[in-house]
Amino acid sequence: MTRDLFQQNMGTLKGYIIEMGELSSEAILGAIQVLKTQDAELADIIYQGDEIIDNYELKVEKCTTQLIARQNPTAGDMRLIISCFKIAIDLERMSDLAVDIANVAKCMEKKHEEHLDNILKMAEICDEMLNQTIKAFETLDHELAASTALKDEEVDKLFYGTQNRLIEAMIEDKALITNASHLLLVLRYLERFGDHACNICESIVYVATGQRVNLN
Amino acid sequence: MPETYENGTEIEVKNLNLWYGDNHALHDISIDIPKNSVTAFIGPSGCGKSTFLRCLNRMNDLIPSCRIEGHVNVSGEDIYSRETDVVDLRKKVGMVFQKPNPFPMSIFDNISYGPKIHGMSKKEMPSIVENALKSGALWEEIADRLDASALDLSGGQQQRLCIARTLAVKPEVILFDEPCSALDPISTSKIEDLILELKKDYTIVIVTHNMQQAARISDYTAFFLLGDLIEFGKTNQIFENPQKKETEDYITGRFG
Amino acid sequence: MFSNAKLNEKIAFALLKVAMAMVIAFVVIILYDIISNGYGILSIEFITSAPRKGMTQGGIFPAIVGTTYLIMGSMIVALPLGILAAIYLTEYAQPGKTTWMIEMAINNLAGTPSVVFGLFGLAIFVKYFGFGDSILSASLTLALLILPIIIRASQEALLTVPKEYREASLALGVTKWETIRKVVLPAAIPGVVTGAILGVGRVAGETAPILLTGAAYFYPRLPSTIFSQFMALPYHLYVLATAGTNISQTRPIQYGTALILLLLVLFVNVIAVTIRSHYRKKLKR
Repeated sequence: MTRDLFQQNMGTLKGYIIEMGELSSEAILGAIQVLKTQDAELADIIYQGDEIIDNYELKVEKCTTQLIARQNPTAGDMRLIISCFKIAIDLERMSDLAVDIANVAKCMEKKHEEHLDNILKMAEICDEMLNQTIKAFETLDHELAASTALKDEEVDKLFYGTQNRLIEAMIEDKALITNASHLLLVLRYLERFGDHACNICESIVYVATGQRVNLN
Repeated sequence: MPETYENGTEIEVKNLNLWYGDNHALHDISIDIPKNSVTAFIGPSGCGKSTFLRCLNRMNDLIPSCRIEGHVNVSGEDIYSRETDVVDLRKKVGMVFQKPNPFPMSIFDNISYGPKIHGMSKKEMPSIVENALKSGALWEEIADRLDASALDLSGGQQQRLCIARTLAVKPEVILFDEPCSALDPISTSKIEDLILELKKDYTIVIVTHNMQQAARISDYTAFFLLGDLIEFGKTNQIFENPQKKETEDYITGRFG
Repeated sequence: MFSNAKLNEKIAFALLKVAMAMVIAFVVIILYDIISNGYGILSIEFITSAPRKGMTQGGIFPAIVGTTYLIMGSMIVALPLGILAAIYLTEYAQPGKTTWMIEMAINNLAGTPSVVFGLFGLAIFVKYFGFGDSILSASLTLALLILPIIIRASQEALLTVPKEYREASLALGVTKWETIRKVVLPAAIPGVVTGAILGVGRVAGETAPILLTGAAYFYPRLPSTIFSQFMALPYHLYVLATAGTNISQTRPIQYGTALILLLLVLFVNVIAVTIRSHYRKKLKR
């Protein structure tokens, strides 16, 4: 193998993305936990994690600009570098969404168990999507990426179903409005989370095959 | 200019001026070259980068009309002082040239040429040659034909032989004068990888007319224009955010 | 316009061909004359025995040996001297008045008539140093004669050694003298040998200088020391053709001598060319 330094730097860049993905996964799992427990300390940990992820995004940005400025990336190398830049933005947004969820969750009162089930299910699927996406990225497996993106349909279905039920519940019982509108936000965040995972999957397909696809 | 370096400074140049006859070719160059790093000199043809490189091992002494003022310190020693022995200096500061220039001898003799003249014993020679060729990333390709003529090697192999020949003399600094301009892309990237490997043990200064090459392998980049040092800084910074307009124009190809 | 240029090209090319043909024709005629007339006399006896009966019979062995000694003697002196001078002039001398004067002196030396060298040799080596009429005096005189040839050829050879070799060696911290000795000179050998070949031809063929410094009209023995007189092929030929006892009777011997002289020069040149091609092969891939 020639161009050792270039290969090394590309490895570093990929490593950043994978680490970012793992941190985002931890963040969403933590946010769900907060949703269940309203644990303010855990929410703080998620905020700190978000700062680390923001830092990673900066590192990825620096790394990609340096690689473009200095190494003349072409073909697959270029697709990977460009995609890493985009993926980092998606992952950073996903981490932000986890923070948003934690923010909403920690000031919620209990009494929403019957709707939480669906939300937890959505969150589980989202986390699974993220984990599979990271796996697909590690191996640049475009088939896994494509099949992962399909799961977004389930997320969307759950989103619309739960949204309707929450609205109905609010109409029936005005006392629920505060809590339910919070939950609507959480729903919205999770749905966005899934969309970002889809974006990442699209980027992976682009890296692996050079095809620009729409998986949303 | 960076003030201090992680590994310290190897070469300090202060207010260096150079004339070819009446032609003032280098204007007041001051630069500190860091140890165990790759420093690249870039700039358009005739900007003085090669001339400046040749000041660092006094190869310009060979040109009768050349006159130099200023100070060049290599590991703390003023190489233009009266006491400096040019022969010792060139042992310490080796040089690899633009065109691969192996001697018309066997591969073995090419490598052992320097050590032999510098008084190493014949018994040590095989191990010196082997080590030099290994460091030059050539051993595996030619270990079984050390007696073959060096001129039978490919251009890229010849250039790595020349690097190994320089290493055999155990220098501290290696100056590369456009070492890849006569080579194909594969040979070029082999040499580039080798340079990155060598910087662990040596201070490398490379002149290149290929900006991308400077970008790929150097830690620090100096941009020369018409005999002036326009900008010197970390390669990261020079190629992402140069401070001088001339530098930006040159590295973006808008020059002139 | 185009056809005009084509016509010019044709005329020029035809002229070149004619010139070449004339050169070849002259060489062939001379060689034919010498070989056809001299071939008959060639025998083992002719090249291994001394002349007899007022040189009308017998061989030319002493002359062959004498000329061989002259070639060796003059080369031993002229080659090192010429090469060293060439090294000084190309590698060390700074361009300036002195160098210009030395160069001019060498050019003039090359144009000096050989009989003047003979007179100089007579005055300096034979008389002043007291070497007498001898191989030594003649060899030294001939060495001076071919010195400009050797210097010129060596200078050319040194100049054609690529600058890259010198730079490579100097950059390894090798002194200039070592660089010249180990790298430049070996690379220049083919050119130096070419100079030597020209020199051999001159030495073997010159008559006037040796006439004045040691060649004997008749000396049917082999020279025993470097202070002995000697016979030499060209002078022997001259003697037979102009001052012999019976010029027309010795005509075959004259031609035989000329043929042997040619063969001797050819033989020495073959050795030199072999050396040269050996070094050339080493220098090229």
